[in-house]
Amino acid sequence: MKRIVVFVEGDGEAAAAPILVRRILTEQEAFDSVYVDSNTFIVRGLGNLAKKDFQVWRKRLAAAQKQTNLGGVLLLLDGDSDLFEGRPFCAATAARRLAEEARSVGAGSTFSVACVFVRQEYESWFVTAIEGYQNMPDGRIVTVPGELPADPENAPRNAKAIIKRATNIGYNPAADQAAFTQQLDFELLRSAENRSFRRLEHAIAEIVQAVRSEKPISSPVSDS
Amino acid sequence: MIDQITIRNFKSIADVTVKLSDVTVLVGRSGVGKTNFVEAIRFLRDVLRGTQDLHQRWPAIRPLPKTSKPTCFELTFSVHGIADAYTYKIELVDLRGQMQLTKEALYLGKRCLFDQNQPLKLGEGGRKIEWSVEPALVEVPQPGPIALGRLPALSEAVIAYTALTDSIGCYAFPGDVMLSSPNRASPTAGFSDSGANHLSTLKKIVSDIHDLTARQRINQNMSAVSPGVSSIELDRLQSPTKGIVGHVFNDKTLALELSQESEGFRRFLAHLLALYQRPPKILMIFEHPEDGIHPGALSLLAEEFRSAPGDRRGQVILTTHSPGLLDNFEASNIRVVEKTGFATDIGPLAEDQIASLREELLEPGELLTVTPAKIDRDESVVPTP
Repeated sequence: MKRIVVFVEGDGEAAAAPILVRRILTEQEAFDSVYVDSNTFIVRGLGNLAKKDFQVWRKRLAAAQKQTNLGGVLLLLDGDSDLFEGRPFCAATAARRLAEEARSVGAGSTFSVACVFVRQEYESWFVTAIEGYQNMPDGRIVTVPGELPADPENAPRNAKAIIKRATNIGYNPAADQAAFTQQLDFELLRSAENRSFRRLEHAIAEIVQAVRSEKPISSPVSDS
Repeated sequence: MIDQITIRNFKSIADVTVKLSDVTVLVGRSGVGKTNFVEAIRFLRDVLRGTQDLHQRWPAIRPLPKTSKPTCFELTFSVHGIADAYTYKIELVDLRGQMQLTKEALYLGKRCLFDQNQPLKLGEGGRKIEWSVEPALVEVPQPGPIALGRLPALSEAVIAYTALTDSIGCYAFPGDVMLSSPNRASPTAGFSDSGANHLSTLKKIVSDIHDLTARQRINQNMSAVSPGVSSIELDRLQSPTKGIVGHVFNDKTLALELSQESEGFRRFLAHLLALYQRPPKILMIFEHPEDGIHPGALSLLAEEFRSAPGDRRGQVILTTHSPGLLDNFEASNIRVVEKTGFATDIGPLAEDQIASLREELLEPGELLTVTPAKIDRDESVVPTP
């Protein structure tokens, strides 16, 4: 059994992401090979990781490598930056750059790394799948707003505010993100052809396959 | 110095044994039991002191879910000038809502100074405590009540009693610390837990002209916290009514009352008074010392905590949620507090996190922000998904 360590942006994701990854691993019937470390790494945003020519990113990966049985690191960040390395932000480019940097500390040879950006933010998935929150077990009421962005992945960043307005008791990411993740309807995301969720499922499957085949990866792979 | 403490059946603490360092920093999320650990040490101290409100406090310190198991403490500690380490054990049971002693023993090295206990399990009518090892006295006192503190002719026992009572300070300073200046003398020895007797504590420091170190260190620190501060004194030495803070402006000193200073200033000073009090404590516990203090001053305070044990001013235990404060300590200082179900667990930092700190892949404070500090456990047992 190998460990998957999840790197996330903030406290809300630290509680929510392990739930999300465990649910996907359950669907992929992968618990014979991997388990999710409940100790997530809160690495803040892309800008923080890229500091000092990606030194922070490399240090965090090296720290994760100190743990026993490390199979893979899954980086899950919001893809709402304006710029990356002086150019307009592109999730695929940023993910490839991070994967490339990860190779210098052993990713792809001794352990796996997969980098995923959520467009625009984690709560964009909740907005896309908002119709699935009709029966929250804790009794909170989520009302589907009359107007929703047609494509939450490419809409201006506003997902937290939409969820907050739609929920009768409001929404605080640090306290509520895990509960919404537990109820997140994957089928609604798939039928909406949400690309970043598809990328997440693929990234997790890549890590699992790498662990099973003992051929570590650093994903996504550069075009060059 | 307390080297090791075992606590059983105290609030959320079912059974923990903690090895303490010169400076021990307890970290963990809110509600995991850091304060319960501190409260346990405070409770033991107050039990030995015979504090008035103990029987009111007793029901609240018993563990939940309810159990008939005794609340136990076992400490190994050493006192400068005595070669062997002491071991003190005490066991208290709940008898119809009342606290009752069932076992107590004091050892110095391997030598038992006394041991009293109930020979058999408590029956309907209750069984009397008996000496299994009598104290070496011509007139042996009756067994039953706590013996430590009742043996004035045995110096070794008196020293142990002093070490576990008046030599322990458990500090959690309120925001209004040092705002008022009570005239009445404090019944406690040394700087009181709330800082209420700050004037008498400061008096002992400033009236010691044989050693100006403490006064100078306090002034230097407060000057660093608040530039321009030149002195911390009393309005009058014989019967002080207020603390006076000197501020230098254009080579002249303005005297302000201590109560006019900010909360952060007063809280910082309160920590210094604890650390430099006369006589020094054996153990000082500070709960969340960072509260109200400017982040830029935390490294200054941390240095004072670190230097106290080496200067024979006492061992230090801290609880903190401050990355800025934790950054000033090493992995060997850190003890992680976690909760499994209802039970608090306390242990050293996990090996992988120690390695990450050693190789500077993580800063200590990042154990509160990047990846939570975790206890060193046997990971051969893979958690179920």
